[in-house]
Amino acid sequence: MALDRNIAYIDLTTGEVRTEPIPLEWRRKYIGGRGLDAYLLYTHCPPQADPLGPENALLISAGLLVGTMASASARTHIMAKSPLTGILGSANMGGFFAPELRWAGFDHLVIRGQAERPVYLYIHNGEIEIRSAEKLWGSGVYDTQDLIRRELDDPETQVLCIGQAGENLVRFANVMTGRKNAGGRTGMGAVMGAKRLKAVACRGTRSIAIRFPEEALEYNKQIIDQVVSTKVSQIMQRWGTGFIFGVTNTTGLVRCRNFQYNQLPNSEDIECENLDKVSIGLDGCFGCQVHCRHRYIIPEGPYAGTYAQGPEYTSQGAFGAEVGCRSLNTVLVGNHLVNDYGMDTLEVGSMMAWAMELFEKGILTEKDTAGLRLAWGDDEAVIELVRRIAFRRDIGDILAEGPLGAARRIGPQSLPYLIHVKGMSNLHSDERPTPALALNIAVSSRGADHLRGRPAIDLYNLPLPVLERVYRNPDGYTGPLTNSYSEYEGKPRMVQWQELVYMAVDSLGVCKYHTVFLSPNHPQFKEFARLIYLNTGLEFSEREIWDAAERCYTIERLFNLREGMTRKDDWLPDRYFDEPTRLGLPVARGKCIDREKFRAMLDEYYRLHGWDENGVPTPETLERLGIAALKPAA
Amino acid sequence: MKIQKVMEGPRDGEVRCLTCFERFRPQLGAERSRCPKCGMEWRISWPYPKTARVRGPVWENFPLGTEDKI
Repeated sequence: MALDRNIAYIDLTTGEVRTEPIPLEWRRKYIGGRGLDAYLLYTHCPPQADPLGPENALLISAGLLVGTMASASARTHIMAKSPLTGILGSANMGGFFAPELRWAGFDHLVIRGQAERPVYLYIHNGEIEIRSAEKLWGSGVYDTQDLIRRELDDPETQVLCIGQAGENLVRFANVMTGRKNAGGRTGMGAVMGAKRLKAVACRGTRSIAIRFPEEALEYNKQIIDQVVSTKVSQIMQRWGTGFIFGVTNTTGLVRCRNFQYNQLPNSEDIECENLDKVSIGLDGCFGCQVHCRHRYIIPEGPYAGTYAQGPEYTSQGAFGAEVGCRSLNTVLVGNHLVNDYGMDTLEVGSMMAWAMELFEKGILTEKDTAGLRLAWGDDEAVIELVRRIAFRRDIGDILAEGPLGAARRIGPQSLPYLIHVKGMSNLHSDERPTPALALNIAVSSRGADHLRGRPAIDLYNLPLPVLERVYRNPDGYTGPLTNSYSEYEGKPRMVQWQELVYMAVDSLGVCKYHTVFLSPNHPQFKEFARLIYLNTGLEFSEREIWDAAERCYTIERLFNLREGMTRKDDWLPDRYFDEPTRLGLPVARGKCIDREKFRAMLDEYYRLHGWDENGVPTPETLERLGIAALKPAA
Repeated sequence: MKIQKVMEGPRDGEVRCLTCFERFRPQLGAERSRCPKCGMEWRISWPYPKTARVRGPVWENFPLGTEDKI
């Protein structure tokens, strides 16, 4: 059945491998995927561990519904202490790896220690081998996967791996699978690199028995209908997430030239509609009907003819608006390079834009960059900088340290220009006109990030009854809600609700585009309960899923507090409060975040989570969630 | 089947103005259209023959200060 998968505990120092079943009690409390990873990280990573040391625990998991009849149940979760931020490291990716891991008999891998020489794991039908990766070391993401499949003589093997950036301990290196599925954010690729773990290859033929197969199949048809009948899904099927850029750039919600502007005018070339010129069709992850990623051939320049996939909205920002470039080719090349080197496109774009502003202000000079002029909109300089970061060459070596590490090396004069929260750079979005989205990035458990709690539907000006239908369930919230994105009232609830629905889908292993992220009409707690029951036989009420998500989110909070995080880390860079936006539509122009109102939002957010005024979960909250044994840091 | 549902539904061909959120229906296949409520002119794209979306503003008409012409 869907519940009979194991956890493997792997020590790369000793070569010991041990497998154990997953207790049913853990399923009820933490579900699986990201939720159970949070508990395993808290219990297996010692306090104050060196993120790049052998004691850090690297967790790789498939969510509870992965490989079942649930639509878009393809997600792999990666967790460890982050070498970028020093707190929770967490990344979620699509593709085909997670179902293969389940078919091979495992839901969670807990990897500790450090191999003496490069290795990869080969997991097949309950067996785990540690094999030499010496011949793979130095290879990019695309080649690594091909070479492993050739070595195993099995084209069906799914591979999760790092590229050169992970080997070089770039602190925002990704774990990758396929051409573009990225376990991005928080540098999980560097953790693999430090453990000398080049890849995890997986092949399984063990079926996942569905508890009520006919009903599950029928119900999933309803879910697919529910998802693909929304306009947002249909546009995604056509142009992927790139469609978002047209909306946010028009409104004035994108970071341009680091944080100096909030819009890139005359940027038609990088709009999603132009992907039609280079796309050879769209592709999807396991079990998904949306198919949101383009397959494309780079049309011109030194990389002409290269096959790649994407780009996502994030790369339009990283290689477009943030660095002031207006060339689709630059977006396509930049996207290809970060995927093959295995780096976080958001962090790369943000670090480059920051360096360019420092260059503009004379804080960095050509002496610091080995002659590279970091001028806004210089397509060649942008692509060169990507390469230098991946291989840690001159200025790239500094930027590869991530926001705070690089600022330490450049000097305190660089700090005011840094756009980060908790040591992680933000998406290329500008949240000054949108208090809800600003709160989301300030409190996210892994640093500035939109995928932890972004109430994106706040941008739609939806009727209040629609917001009430979404945000009053399943716990009967009765506080305020407002439907204008420039308001402050009611927004903490939207952020808290989104945090828990995202925790739930990440624990189930389902894609966020199959829940209330970009559409209020997508599945949420009610549908999750039915999907779990029909596929696994486990009975969860909506409220029990909500409680499990809250429990797991609270454990992430406890982990961060244990590593030294405090209320002051749930805050935004001063520029959000002090520099009004300059461009965009009237509703977004001249806006900055009001400090006092933001402080009040933060207080309300803590209260909703059952945390005290310092953001520490209260004893009553821990008791209610059944995790009183996990004490907050003193 | 479901794609047809939206494309042939009551909101077939509709877009929302990003300035005032008014729903309006550009002429089928039009590349530009003006919001009837606030007058803002938009570039329109058509992901499917009867489904429209706001692609972006008409930049030459978009209000930018001289110092902001980046």
